[in-house]
Amino acid sequence: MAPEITVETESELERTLGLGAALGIGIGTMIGAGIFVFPGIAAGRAGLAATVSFGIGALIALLVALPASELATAMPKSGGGYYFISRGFGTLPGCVVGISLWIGLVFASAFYLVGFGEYAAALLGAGGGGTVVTAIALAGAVLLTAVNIGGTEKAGELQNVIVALLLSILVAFLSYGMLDSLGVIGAPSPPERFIPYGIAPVFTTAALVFTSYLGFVQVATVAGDIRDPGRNLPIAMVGSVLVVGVLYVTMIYVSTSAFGSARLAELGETAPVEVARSYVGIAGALAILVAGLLATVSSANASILSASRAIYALSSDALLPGEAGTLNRRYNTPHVAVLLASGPIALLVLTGRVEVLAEVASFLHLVMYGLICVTLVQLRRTDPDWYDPDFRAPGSPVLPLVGAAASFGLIAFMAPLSQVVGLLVLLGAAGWYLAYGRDVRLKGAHD
Amino acid sequence: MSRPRVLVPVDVSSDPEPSPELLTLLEPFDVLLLGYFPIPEQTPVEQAREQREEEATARVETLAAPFVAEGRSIESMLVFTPDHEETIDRVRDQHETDAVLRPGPIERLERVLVPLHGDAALDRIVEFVVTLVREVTVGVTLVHVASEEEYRDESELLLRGARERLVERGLDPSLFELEVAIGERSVPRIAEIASTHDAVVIGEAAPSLRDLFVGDRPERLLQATSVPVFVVSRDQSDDEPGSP
Repeated sequence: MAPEITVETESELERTLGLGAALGIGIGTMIGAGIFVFPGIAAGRAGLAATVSFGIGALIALLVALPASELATAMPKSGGGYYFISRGFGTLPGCVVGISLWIGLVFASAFYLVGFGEYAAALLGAGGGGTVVTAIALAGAVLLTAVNIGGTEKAGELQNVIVALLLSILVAFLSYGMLDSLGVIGAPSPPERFIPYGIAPVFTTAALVFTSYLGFVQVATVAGDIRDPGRNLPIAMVGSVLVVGVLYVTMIYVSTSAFGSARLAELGETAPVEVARSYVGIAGALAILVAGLLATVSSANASILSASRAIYALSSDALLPGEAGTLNRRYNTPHVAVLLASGPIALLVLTGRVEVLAEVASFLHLVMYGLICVTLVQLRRTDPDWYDPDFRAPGSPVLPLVGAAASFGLIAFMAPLSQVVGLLVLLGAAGWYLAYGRDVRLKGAHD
Repeated sequence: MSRPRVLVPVDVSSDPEPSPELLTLLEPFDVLLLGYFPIPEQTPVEQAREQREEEATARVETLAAPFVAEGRSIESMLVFTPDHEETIDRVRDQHETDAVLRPGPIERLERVLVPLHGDAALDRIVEFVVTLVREVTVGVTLVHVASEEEYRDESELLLRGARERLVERGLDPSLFELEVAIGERSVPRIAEIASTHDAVVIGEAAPSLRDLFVGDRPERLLQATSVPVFVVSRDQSDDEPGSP
């Protein structure tokens, strides 16, 4: 007689996450490249009012965070947004969201890598030379691919250390900057006109910098491991958006107080380095350079991993060929999915178009965020038997519909090229569904 | 008294080598065989399970087969995990096993090393050694590491006391050898002595702040030696209430 064998899978995280750990995941996913790469570009476009642009982003993220929390407590699955929409709303929207999440993360990762290239080039003193930046960004893409196929242990712990380090550097730098701009230290800086370039750039800038908030829905993917999810999950999501939102807004305020928006625009992607240099000299510049390098590379890596997970989710639902989900014989890593993410990233890096990369990434995520809100309203309306969330988002259907409208609306303020590229991805995804996925019946779908 | 239960974790991501000596070594115990499949962080656990469950289950079955053939009591489980150390600890606590065997190559089974540390786990170690030696006739070396030559007498006293307790439980005194080793750091000294033995029995360390940084003694010893090591579980009720 063959013995009984119990088979179990172990969660990747501690079995029960408290509120603090969940907040950490949210902050850790968001705090990264955006705050280091955007201040120069954003202030150059909207002046001091770029603070409002970052505020708009936070507001939209908050509007989506509440419905996402409700859906996550009803469907605590690691697929996150893709799972909610495919199970709650249907296979076609699910397939479109799944594919655009993959491609959106590819764009985000390419954006972070170009930012990484800028910071590395600045550290090497190579200036804003385009070829150097591209070469370093490409090298970064190759390195991350190799690391992720080779497999790592304990990189998650390293990630926590990096996030803690980033937060400390930022808080120290921003506190000093605030004291200085308020005139407590040194001479008070002359206040700049709040809206030097008119109202419209405030919104277009909001559309551009929204990339800085991507990933807050990530907290939803650990809904199954969170203690008291009905309370802790929404607090963690909303709290992490608020924390990073305050950091972003402060960063813009401090940067514009130090230099004025015209000078910041000239400094471009590495503007925060010069701001730090002006406050505390070479040591400050170095700290921000190192922080920028760590932030961009860890954001890029996290996006590659999320993309490979989105690919796995699609392939396990048979919306992509099964080969996409195979594991490497030697390393047990999802090498096909990693290559499906990093291959296009390398191509996009070659374009070197920071703003387009960031906007398309935001575009594709915003589509998902908007649909998350719509899914909530849809589920509340049909109220299927299986739908039993621990947390109920307030203000339905008005607030979720406002969230959906705001998410889709922000897309309208993007550059035409970004809109065209984003739309093509959506159409391509829908076309893929029609050609390949039409007969798919989703596992665990709640009909 | 019921037979003690030993948790035997084995990495089943590649073909493990079955060892007949291991079968002998585990004869006095009920066995909980834990096949673990370590997963790199890049891989979703469900994905790994989907693709590797079949082969991993076959490996666990192969490992369990000789036990089943002899009609011995064995329970098997297979876990896909990103952190197998954590999994081993969890299974040990959940199933309240009396010891964990970290397998290593065994060529023969003649002498077992029992390093003593002069701590509270002594009762449980003695109990475990008694069960082991009663059924499997092996020589036992009791060793204590003293930090300096001048503490040799105290070490000998400790070792003799331990031997006395073992003999009182009906074990043959001629099985035991006592050895005092001198060294600043005990783990490397024990690892050195372990290399001339066929298995080691140690007690699980109580959690301490220092262990968070350097790893606890059993952990460090496991890294320093390749022989199989029984880590005797500490009594959960010894812990402070409310501690993890």
